[in-house]
Amino acid sequence: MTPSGLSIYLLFLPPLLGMLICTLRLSARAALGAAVATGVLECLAAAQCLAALHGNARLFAAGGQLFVDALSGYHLALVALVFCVTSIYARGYFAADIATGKFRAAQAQRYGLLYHGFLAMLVLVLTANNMGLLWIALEATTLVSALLILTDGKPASLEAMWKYLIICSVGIALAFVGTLLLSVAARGADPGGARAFFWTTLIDHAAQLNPGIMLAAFVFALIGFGTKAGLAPMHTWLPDAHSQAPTPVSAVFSGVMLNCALYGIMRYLPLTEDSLGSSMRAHHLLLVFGLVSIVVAAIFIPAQHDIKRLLAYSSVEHIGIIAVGLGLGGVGTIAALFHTLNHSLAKTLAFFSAGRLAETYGTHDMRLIKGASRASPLWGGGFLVSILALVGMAPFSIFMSELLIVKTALQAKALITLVIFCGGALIVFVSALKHAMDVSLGSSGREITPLRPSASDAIMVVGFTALLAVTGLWLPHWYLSLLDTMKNIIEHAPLPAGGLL
Amino acid sequence: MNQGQHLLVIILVIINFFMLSTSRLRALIRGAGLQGLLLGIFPFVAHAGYFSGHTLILSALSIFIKGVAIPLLLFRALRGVSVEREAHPLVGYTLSIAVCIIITALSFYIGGIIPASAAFPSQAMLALSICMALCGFFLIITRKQAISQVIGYLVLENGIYVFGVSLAVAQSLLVEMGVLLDMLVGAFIMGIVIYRINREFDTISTLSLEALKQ
Repeated sequence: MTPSGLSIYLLFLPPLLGMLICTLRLSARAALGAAVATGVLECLAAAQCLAALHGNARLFAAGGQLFVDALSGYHLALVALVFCVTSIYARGYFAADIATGKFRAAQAQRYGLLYHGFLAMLVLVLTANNMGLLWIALEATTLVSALLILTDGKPASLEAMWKYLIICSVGIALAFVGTLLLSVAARGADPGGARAFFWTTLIDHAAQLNPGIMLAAFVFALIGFGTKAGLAPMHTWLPDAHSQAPTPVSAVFSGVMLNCALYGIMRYLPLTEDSLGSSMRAHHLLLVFGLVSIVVAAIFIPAQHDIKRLLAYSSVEHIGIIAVGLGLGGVGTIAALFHTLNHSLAKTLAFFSAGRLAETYGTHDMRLIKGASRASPLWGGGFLVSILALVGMAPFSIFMSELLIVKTALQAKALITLVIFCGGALIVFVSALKHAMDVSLGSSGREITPLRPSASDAIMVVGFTALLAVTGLWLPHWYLSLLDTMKNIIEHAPLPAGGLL
Repeated sequence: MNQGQHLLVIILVIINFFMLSTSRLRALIRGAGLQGLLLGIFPFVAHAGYFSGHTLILSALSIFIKGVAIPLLLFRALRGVSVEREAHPLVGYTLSIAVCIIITALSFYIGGIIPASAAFPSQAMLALSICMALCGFFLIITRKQAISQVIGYLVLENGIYVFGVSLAVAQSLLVEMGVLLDMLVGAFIMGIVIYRINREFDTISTLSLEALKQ
């Protein structure tokens, strides 16, 4: 085994260990504690994988079936980070339910098992080199996470889970058609053998792929993976699943699962563009879906009353923004990748705060959650900050990535894109901010017994806020060159300038 | 195209018609199971004289999972559920058959206009796969019983399987086994949900699932 292979296998070790531990007879507290330990270990594993990547363009394992490059390494780091903080948050989130006996040891074990299984499958999505394996792993994340939605067993979560299962299964089935078509398109080009369906092989021979069939493959992959990513109009499962799942699960859904589905599209994009001779046609398709998502989010966000549905629709908007950035190409791609990080951080903080506020007030209804910053200064403040960041207020980093996308659209003279993007962002800005102001600063007639936040809660909120603010003002040099490396992976061949929507 | 292939295509289309016209849930499960069994022998008929260890293992697995394991799982999920029939589908049975005729005609028309080439060797099988995928989709959107929707998903998957076989795509064994495993686990989880929905709402009609709107 090569050392590079080892560093990929190490990524799977923490989740597998976690699953093993959760099969033991543990108390609920211990099972949640185990998740924290594996979360920290996964961060270390991702860090050593990124370190091993330094100086190598790609690492391989399992005879080339698995590989890591800058693009997957970046997403892996994000997954590890979000899982780690979510595990820490989950201890506080479930504490009250454990005390009242609503969250028993058996449930905690099941939750831990699925949670670690979910992590393992997301890691498999991001390390798969075989395009068939990528599909299998993404389908497996649906199956595992569907059961996570059901943690509390309420009728409404059953409904959300059913929609999630059926809609995403059908979507992923369409992505399978795309996978099949990809292998047909590769038939004339591949050198044969077991490596023929590896992404690293395909990208080297991308110019010889059959262009017509490759475009069809991309359309199916876009719709299929797009369903899982929450691109409108295939997003209908998303608000239900996000609002009904336990908050730690919602945070992982929005924070990383949607990105992992988009990651699948990012792998198809260069294959399609190279085989079509850089016509930007695949980019245009992605751009259209991104714009539709922004419009849908702008229509639904003003009317939301459920605090977690508000955040879910905001995810539809931000996945749309990332798709628009990718669709514009060039600097837009860099902005989209930067936005991926920003959205994950801000949305994770938003869900954390919303979850605890909903717990404090005993409702998800924003008409009843008022004056949160007095009832719970930490979470009320955290919610306001995260919404400020999400709507693109300066100096937070989302402002920078959105500005970069606007700039790219201006330079490409993509006027329709510009108008829809800015219009949608403006509507979301006004309406989401109004919701957030009411929630944090409004006055409620009720007396609320505030939750006592723990030290780790305070560190989390302050840490996220600082990270969002700092990355909005200054980025380290290595991060910029990482963004550039990733852009070169997604845009394997240089793209023509201008001529966009 | 040989005789056996034609026969298999015709039988599968007839099963499609049967499934869209029946109201009994058990018959629906049997139809999907029968399709699964027939699909297991499909690779041998489709590529006559092509026998390899790879194909044999996959066919055996496919027959076991789609023809035996999944139907048994679904029968088990139906146990304890009082519902036997899909009472009032969104689209009635007569109309369903009409839709099925239109879908079939359309699929074979599309199959006919795509020229047979190295990429798509068999027009009839391409047509069959489109037909099955659309029928599965039709079941999902028009039937209200949760179990009918699962069957629709299975028919859709079967259509995609036919598509894969007709392309003669040599995927690695690992990948194809993974696909089958995902399908089995998917059906298993859907079975669990059907059980839970029945316990929670005392019915498996998805009409009771309408609390979440907007």
